[in-house]
Amino acid sequence: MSIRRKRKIAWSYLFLAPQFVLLVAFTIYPILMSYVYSLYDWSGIGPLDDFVGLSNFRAVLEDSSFWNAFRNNMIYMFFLTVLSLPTTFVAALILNLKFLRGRTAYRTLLFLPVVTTAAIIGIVLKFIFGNDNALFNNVLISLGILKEPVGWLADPTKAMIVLIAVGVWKLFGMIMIYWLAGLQSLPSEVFDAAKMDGAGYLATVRYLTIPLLLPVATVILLLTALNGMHVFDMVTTLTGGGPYFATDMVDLYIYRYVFASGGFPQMGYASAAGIIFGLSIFALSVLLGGLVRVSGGKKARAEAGLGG
Amino acid sequence: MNRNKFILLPLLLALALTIALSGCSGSDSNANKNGNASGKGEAAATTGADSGKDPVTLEVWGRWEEMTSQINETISEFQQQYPYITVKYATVPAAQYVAQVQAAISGNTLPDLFGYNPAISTTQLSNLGVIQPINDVLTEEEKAEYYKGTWSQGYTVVNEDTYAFPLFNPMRPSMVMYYNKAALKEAGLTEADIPKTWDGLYEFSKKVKENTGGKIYGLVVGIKPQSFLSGVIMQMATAVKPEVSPADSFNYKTGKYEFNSPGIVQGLELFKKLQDEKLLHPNSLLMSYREGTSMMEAGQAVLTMDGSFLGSQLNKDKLDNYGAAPLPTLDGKPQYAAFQGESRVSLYVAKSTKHFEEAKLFLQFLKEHLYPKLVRDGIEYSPIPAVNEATKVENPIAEQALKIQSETFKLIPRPFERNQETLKVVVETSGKMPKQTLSDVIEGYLTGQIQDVNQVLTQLTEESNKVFESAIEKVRSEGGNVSPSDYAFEDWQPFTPYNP
Amino acid sequence: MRLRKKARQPLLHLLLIPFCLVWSYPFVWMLFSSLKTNVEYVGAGLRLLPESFQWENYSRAWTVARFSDYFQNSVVITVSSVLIVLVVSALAGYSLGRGELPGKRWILLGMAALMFIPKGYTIIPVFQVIKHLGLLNTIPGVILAESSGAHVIFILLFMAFYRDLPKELEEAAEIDGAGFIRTFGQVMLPLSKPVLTTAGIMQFIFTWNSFFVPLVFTLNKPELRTLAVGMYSFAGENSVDYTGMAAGAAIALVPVVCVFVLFQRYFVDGIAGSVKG
Repeated sequence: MSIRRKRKIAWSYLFLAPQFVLLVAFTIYPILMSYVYSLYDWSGIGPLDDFVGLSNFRAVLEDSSFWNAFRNNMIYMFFLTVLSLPTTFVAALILNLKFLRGRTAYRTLLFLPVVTTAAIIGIVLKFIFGNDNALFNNVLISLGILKEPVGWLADPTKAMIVLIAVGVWKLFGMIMIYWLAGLQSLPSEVFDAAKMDGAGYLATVRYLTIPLLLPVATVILLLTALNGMHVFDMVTTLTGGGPYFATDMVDLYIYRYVFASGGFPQMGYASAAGIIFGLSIFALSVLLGGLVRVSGGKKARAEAGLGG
Repeated sequence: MNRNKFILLPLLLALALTIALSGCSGSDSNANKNGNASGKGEAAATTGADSGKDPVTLEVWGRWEEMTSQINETISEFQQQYPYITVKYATVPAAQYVAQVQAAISGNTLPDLFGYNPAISTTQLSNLGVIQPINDVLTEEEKAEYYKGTWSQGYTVVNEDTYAFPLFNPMRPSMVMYYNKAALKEAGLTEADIPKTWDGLYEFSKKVKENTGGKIYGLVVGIKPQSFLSGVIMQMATAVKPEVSPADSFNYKTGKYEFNSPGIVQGLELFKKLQDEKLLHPNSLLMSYREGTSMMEAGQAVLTMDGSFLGSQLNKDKLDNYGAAPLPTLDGKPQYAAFQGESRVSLYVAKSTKHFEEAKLFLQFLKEHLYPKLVRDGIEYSPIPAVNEATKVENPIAEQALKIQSETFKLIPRPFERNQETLKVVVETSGKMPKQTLSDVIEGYLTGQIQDVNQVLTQLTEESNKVFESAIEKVRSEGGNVSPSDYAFEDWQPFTPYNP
Repeated sequence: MRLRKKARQPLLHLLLIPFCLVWSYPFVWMLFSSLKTNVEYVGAGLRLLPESFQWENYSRAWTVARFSDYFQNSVVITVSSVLIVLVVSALAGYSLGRGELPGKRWILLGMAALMFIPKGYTIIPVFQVIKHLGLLNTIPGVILAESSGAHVIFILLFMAFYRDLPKELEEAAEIDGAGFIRTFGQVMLPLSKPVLTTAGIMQFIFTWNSFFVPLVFTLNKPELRTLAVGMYSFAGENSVDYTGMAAGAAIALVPVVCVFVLFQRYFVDGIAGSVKG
């Protein structure tokens, strides 16, 4: 091996070093330590000395509040995905129409909620939904849809509906862009050929666009689902997990044990809950990732080239 | 190349704008930055040195927003008397206080003085070695001036040393009912109609709603987090089953938790009835306690229930529009608020402070100058009876509320008097009690998510007792000398002050 | 039946414009609410416009509610974090895209695996790490916590970009006698401005909007709060100052919206790139 090559290798590794250091210190070490903490009964203050083995895990799995939060996460994620994907697809189709003027403006506007701070949106929307006198109620009453104001955030089902609706609204632009990217990566020759054969717009969509987009669709599905697992910001500010834990999510549940207001925190217990949650997310990703594999995702990626 | 310039320009502009904007953020923030550099009371710019003394800054954390102006007044007087000392007092919202203190303990960045919080007992703090004794701040004669029971184990005292300096009278807060006179009149009722029983409350609310065509409600109470409704219900419940302490739902006769006591269950059912028949203002379910009381202030409901401190927080220009009355109880029987000698509003001195002498001066100054102000403005009675008798309360509503409060408080049995080891159990249970509190149950019941409130309360009782009993076991296994019998006081007659 | 070509455009616009109005109404309403008085706000009903513009809500949020501090903190933390992330990812991406790395396959595989691990429950150990570094309750501590993470997307973007640059550039630099660093610094890095901008904008928006990490790391020192955390505390403490809160929300949201509108092309490209990868 020439000296030049050796030098190049050395520099290459050196360039990787900063990221590697950050990775070890702030990703790998914490993940390992969180496993360690989960085996102790520790308040985060003072020495780590109360080894309890797997009893934290058992306690988490036996806690109905945990499952309540978990179930809420699943419900949220499910509806988020089911509602977002078709609607964003249609929006992407519309915004992909070459003859439509002002596409960029529409795209920007629809995308706006994505870049806003979730925590602040939560607070603003709490005003809009949260009161008898609130904007949403007033609008619905004036439109004649409601006769009396509804306590949107005071009812468990309604609060979840509001949360899901807001979640869709906030994520909409992002998923729409995913679809757009997918649409724009489709080879135009196929569509030109179809046009020449006299195929109408809807038929093209149904028989060409959708099948061709299937691999991308499953990637989008995966990304959307994962997005629905971490909703701390929005839920904390909009509903606080209420009413009465009806919109409680696992993120909040864990937070309660770490930053407890009723005494010293229980870091070990919280770590165990976090690990259980992390493992289930992993399982979900594997499941959905398998779907990607099956629908030829690999091939599509190879075609598009790694990293657009 | 053109394109790059096009991007670069607005970027630079935006950057420049933000820097300029943050640059002209008020002079406040610059002073803050200087003072925050160390956060441990290091020297900061002051109004001039005092006979060669180095300038000193004391950082204090409190969590009682009701006394903000009084303490600021006292602080500016203090700083005039001792020009070389600057006091930076921060009121931390109650919701964040515990987390903030924990983070400070963890990171070793406690301020010079900080306030007591029921979630972390004095015993725990002294075990962790983060607070120091303040024995020589007050002489023995001065200590005797305070209310009987102020200097109690686990709160202000641990073993032989005093750790906490009381700021308020220890017998607080009690829950009081407030009413809006204008709204009352609009509903065609008088002060004589203010209810004293639960049925009375129900009838009252119905009448108010009918007479005003639904415009004004009888009662509003915000139930969102940090609400006082659980305290209200627990206090009202003492008229039904007084053995259950309104402070923590612990039955001091049997020595166990009892959230499902008939008083509490029936109190909850009362509110549910009011809610179901739309006699409770609907926004109660959506609002915090402060939003709730502001609705009463605005006249959208006649009654509200809150702590005795509300009196001092009402709009000062409209004080004669409000009144205070005791809470209604099931059949008008007396109620009480529990006093165990705890001084929950008090300050500690951190062990890490570098300015113990100045902290001492500050605390002594508070005794002379803060206490009278608290009484004068009706914030709260001071911890010294003589001061309370000598000072006139200038806020009539606050005076009414404070009077009701002092009539309500009764001394109840204290396990730590009988057996000091019980304080170890307090430490052991910290943070392990069920996360679902009585406040949560109230919310769930009123929103209809809980059908059988008795069952949920029984479950809460069982879970709490389980934690309690295993904590006792744990302490015993580590050599402590406690037993459940330390908590049962069979000879206690509720309503009579307990003096063994 | 086919829609007449001419009718398609206006029809779509007729659909899209009201939809977009409703879509963005929360922001519009928030902006106008911030200019009302509190009394006006409570009784507003559907009325959007205020009687007169109450700019003093903004000054109240800025000084009394300390949004000026929060703003400054957000700017400092975000800008620093962006710089750190850009440096770290560009270096790593260059190394992977153009460097000589025996074992590259394993590194890439490891990175891919890391993408699936959630960050949530690692906050406790991260807190401990920052504590051991003595950076607890400091701005640098928050910056460090924010800059952490594997930045897989950015590294992939850089990697792809550098890899696709023509080899001639490298060869020419070599002939000029440039070593690894010089080649990178003087030739490659300047060329990667588009990716730098994209990654920079994405990280900017991400950090500016970050809530959980700043919340945890500024629990102890209210002066260090970012806008999002400050807004949350403000809402908790002053639950009845509605218009002040609206003004605060505006202060917090306007910068990031402006950055986005100005640089949206880059941001959108970045997102599109990530889904392809």
